[in-house]
Amino acid sequence: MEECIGISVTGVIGMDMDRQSFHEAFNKNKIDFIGCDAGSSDGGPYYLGASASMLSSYVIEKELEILLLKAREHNIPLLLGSATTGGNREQLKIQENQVRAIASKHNLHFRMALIDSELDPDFLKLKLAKGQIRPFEDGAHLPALTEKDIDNSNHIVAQIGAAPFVKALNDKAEVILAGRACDDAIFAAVPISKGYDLALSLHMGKILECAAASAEVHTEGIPGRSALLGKIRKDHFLVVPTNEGWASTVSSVASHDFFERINPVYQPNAEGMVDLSNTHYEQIDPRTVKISGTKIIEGHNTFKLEGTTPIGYRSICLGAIRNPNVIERIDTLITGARKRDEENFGDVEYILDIRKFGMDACLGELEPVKTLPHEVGILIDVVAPTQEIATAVCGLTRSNMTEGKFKGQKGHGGNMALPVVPFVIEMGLTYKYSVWHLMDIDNLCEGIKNTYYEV
Amino acid sequence: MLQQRKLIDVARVLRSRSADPFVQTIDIFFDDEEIYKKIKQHQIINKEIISKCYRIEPKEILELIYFDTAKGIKISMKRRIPSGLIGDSDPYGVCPQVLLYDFPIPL
Repeated sequence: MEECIGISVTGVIGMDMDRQSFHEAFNKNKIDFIGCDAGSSDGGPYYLGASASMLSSYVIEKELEILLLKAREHNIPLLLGSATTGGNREQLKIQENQVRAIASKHNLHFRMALIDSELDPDFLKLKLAKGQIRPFEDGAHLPALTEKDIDNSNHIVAQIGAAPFVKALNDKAEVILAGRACDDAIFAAVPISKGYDLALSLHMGKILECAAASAEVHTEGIPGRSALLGKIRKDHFLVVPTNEGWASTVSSVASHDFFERINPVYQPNAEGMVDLSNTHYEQIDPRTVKISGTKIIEGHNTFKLEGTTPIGYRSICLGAIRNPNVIERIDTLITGARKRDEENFGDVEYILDIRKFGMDACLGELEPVKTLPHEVGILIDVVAPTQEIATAVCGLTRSNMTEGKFKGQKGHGGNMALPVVPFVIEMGLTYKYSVWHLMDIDNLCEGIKNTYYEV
Repeated sequence: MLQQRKLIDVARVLRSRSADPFVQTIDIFFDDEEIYKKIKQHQIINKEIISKCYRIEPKEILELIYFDTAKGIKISMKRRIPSGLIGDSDPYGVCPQVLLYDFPIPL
């Protein structure tokens, strides 16, 4: 147990990777595993709810092919977590099919583990009855879960920690595909299975999970992308980007510990609370940082649960206004269009949101800048009980914004240009998070199913 | 008289990002130890100014932490609209930090 080296190629598979430095890294290092995150909840509930992929499957398959070929060439484990964005059972199946297609194209053979972290309603109701599902106590998330919330959800997944991956490694899996998983766990599993320190393994996972997002570009010109190497040893780990124009620095790594976390010092994981209060960062060469001192407060094992429920159908329309005569009266125009909707659709429930890009679309009522721009982008966004109604409301709003008359109007050719045809785009079902809770677990694999296949 | 500088001019990094679909975070990092220490000592960035700037209740600010190792400040607050719902223009929460750019830092 001298050191264990993992490589992270990209923050999420399908987001683009630096192929050259990835291949070179294997010539310069004895790499022990390849890890890659394949999902995220950052984009909101849609992808989990609709079993859709946030990134193009065309790019995902190309990158998956590179990773799978490399892992098999070097006979090292390939671990992926949060399959096809949301990590539900259907999304795990999509990723399984992608891997099988690549294996068959290249005549690859390996032992594959599938880790299913979607939880069944009956299991969840039992846990709820035992008082083992709790809301977050900060008041920012959802209130206490009910049986009805479980019944109304179309998918509920658990964000697993490293244990189900470690189990798959112990069961000799060579390719591991998991449903929803903590990003850090994907990279912590191999070190943990080899007996490295739990806190350091998870912390290295946290730095590796976004690939070289924790590094800086040090050469002029086109930055490109970079993978990140993590080398764990007995009492510390090192991180260094594969692209030689990039560098890990004490400030870039320490600031990455803040990234996407509510609290930078105490970070909850399924295994316990990772404690960075005594973490030490040291620059050991211009591109490499050494990290030590991270601890873990073990116990209080939990999975975070994420679940979605459909809330209606969505239709959108994009518009563009260049006429200053119209921009001056934009709020009158919008109010007028809304009034026409109320008269036409007073008997149906819908949500209509009209945003003005170039004015206040990004910050809403917090926008302090009030000067009128020369050009405004418009998004008409509607959610309604059926696609037909959503499209009807969106379409009528569009007509009344385009054709609406007002006092002082100079010319009536149309108020708003329509840059995208078809004018109204049907988006299908839209979702909200119905579940975002903590579940106390009796063991680190509770409710999680590992299955194995000889591919 | 004290000289005033804008936060964006004294910070190395001023960024925002969602921590999850319900929580917005803002991270501020400094290169200059003196400036960081002064801001920390006088609590120049505090819950009151954040609550005023983002029009939220102080109790909706989940964390406001000065972290010396990184010479950084982490602010976590409840999102106004959860990520990806109708009405939300910014699921990743990358815009709100701009409201702090011009915040005056007396030096």
